[in-house]
Amino acid sequence: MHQNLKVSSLVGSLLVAVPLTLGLAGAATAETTITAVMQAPLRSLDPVITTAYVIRNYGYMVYDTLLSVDANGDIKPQMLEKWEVSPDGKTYTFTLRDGLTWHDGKPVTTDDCIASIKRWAKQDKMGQVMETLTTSMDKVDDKTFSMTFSAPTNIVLRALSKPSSLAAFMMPERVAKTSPSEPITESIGSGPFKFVASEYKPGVQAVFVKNQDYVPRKEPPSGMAGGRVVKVDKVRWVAMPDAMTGINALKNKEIDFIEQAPYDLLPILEQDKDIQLIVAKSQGGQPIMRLNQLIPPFDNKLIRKAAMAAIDQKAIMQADIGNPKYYATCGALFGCDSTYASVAGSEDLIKAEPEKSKALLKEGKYDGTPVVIMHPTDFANAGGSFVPVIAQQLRQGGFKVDVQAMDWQTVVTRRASQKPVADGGWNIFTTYLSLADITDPLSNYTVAANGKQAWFGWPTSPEIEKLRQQFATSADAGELKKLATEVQKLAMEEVVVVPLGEFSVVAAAQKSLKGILNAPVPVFWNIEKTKD
Amino acid sequence: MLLIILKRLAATVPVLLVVAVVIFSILRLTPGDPAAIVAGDGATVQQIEQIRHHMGLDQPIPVQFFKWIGDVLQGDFGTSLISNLPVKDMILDRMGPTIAITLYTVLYTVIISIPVGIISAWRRGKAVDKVVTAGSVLGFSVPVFITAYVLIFIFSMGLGWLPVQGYRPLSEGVWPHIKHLILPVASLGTIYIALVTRFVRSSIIDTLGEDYIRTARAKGLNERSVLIHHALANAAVPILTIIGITITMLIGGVVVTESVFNIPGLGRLVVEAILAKDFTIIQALIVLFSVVDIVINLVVDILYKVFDPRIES
Repeated sequence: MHQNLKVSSLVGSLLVAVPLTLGLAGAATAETTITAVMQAPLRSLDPVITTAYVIRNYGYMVYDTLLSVDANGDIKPQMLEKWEVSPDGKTYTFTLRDGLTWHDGKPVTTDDCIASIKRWAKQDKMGQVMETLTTSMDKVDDKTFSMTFSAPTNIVLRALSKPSSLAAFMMPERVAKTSPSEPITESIGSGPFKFVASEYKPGVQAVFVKNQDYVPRKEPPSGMAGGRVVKVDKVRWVAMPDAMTGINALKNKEIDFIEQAPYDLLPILEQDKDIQLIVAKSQGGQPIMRLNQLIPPFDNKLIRKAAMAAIDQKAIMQADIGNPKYYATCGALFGCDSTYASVAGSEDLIKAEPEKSKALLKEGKYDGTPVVIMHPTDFANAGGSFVPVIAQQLRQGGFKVDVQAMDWQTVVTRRASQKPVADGGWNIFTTYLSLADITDPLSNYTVAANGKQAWFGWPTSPEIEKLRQQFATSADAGELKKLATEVQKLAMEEVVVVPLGEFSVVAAAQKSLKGILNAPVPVFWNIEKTKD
Repeated sequence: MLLIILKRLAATVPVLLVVAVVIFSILRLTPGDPAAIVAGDGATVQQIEQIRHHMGLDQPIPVQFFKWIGDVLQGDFGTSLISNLPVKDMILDRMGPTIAITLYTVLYTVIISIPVGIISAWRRGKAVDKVVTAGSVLGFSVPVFITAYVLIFIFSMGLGWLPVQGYRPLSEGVWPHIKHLILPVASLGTIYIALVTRFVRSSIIDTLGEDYIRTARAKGLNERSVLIHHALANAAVPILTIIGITITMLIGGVVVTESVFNIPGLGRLVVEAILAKDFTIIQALIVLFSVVDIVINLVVDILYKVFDPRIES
């Protein structure tokens, strides 16, 4: 009996243990994959050559940055162990942390970082300012390098930590030596994910696998800073040209995540108990109106001010977003809730003042020539949805308006023309900027006012440029705030750019995804995919 | 016959040359700059100029044309201006879904529409004919995306039998492959079935009025033989024509279906390339579509001869 009991116990144990073991083994080897639909399909792979947001997001998967900004806006080390500043505030010495390797297994060295900074600084607007102040960049050893500037400044910290286009991604030296106007052809980074080139189909899908060799920081994640701990095996970005298909696929559990769910389809998702909506304010954007200051009538400040007086932000944001839950009216050029937020000089923007606009037009001797506004009918957030509203407001303000419908790519081409309207030029175009791109007078390239060197619209204001230069060389928080407010005031006075409000992005995900970070850029570290 | 084929193939050369010149010119004359697209929203005029120079788009248009045509003659379609990948590889990647969807839609169309068209013609004026005619009108009146959304609503969201979107190649298994194509083919097929059914019906009706049909019946042949061996065989030429047209339409023209069902086929590739002004891809695809069109027409012409030996060479 005893023997029988032993035998039966053994058999029973086996019966329980074998399936359990098999089950556990199965669970251990089951691959967790997040399938995500991003805001645009990935079609190219150089995050330094372009400011396209999807390529920036790809950059954060594959590459790493020396510094990053946490949820409070503080600058933190990322690839760095530490940095030191010389007593005169002119020299910064950076030390890389241990365990950094490229995806091909080679160690990350200071030569790689120096080459990467040089290539990035040629392209990035803040990097270009930093470059003008840089007197030398020297290797100390394989893990340490220094940068010396002509004046005391902390621009290097602000530039290398800024989260958005163009983020200062580190690349192997041989890749970073590529000319900045020539796209790189390799996807070798040192970031938390590895890019699977063999599964890449431009415009269709991009696949990333967990970088098993990545050593994350020990600190908890916060904003873009802290440990970039990957908790899934694979992330698949799939393109879905039809928004409704994406929503249906999410509801049918064929995908896990939509980076930007269309506002008009949100009610469908709100009713689904298995789906979570994430209002990502920091990933939101600021629609803007840009006036061409090289040619009449907007070469006249009074007429620019008339256009600003004609604007009613609420009507525009209602047409753009529709649901007040996801937008705000605000005239702050550097973001309504940012460190440098100021609404100075933007009083005329919030509510339309057609009579004031008409008076300014009269004073400015507007001759009634129609102003050409480009209407990108295929790109809602860039103006497709709200240009007709702007046109009507301008008409009510006394302007004659010629709305020209075209696709976004034609706008992108035509806005580069500095010629008169009759020769293919333009007077007004609209677009939007990611909030992560506009946080201060250097990163917000729309306030640059150095004439033909400035962004499309080419405003000229030596005072603004002087303030921006001072902003670049200052390191005092109080002074920086004061300078930013001055830029805001002057930019509004000169109508360098017309902000039209601010909107939040709404991401949609299966509830089985836990740990989605509220960062200024959609990131895939820290996300777990549970079975429920 | 071989001589005819060779002659017809030789005649395609000037056609392709005209296509190449026209598409190349149209792309350069219409607004849109791939360099500005690559550079992104924040780029300055100077940065865009640098990228344009790197792409070779700052060279005179004739220089660009002869370089492109020279490369194409050597089998090199160049690299995509946006993704920097070889155009040939990108097209080959997208060809599978397009071939699959075309093949299945044509098969589905032929299997359904030929018998239904014959029956409808045979029972002309009867209830079955009226139902078929009404169904045909409905079939090609309803836009394909409406049919697609209705099918998704019923079979994917409602019953949960089929996926909403996506494509799986045959290499990933027969059922996953078929499962992902049932709804797209059913949606697309609705229009083509309606079209071909009406065509078959009218062709058979025309043929049934011929003297040789009366003779066949007078000989005592049963209706099935009359319909299949006499009516259908003689109505084959116009039916082949419409099937040929269907195939050419399917190869490049199923953009809406590919978008709604998220199928990465050639239709979507050409639209994406047009929106991104990716000249090299557009040029290669238009030339490819022209070649396919010519080949299909050639095959249809050869089949005419097979089905109707009276047709002159």
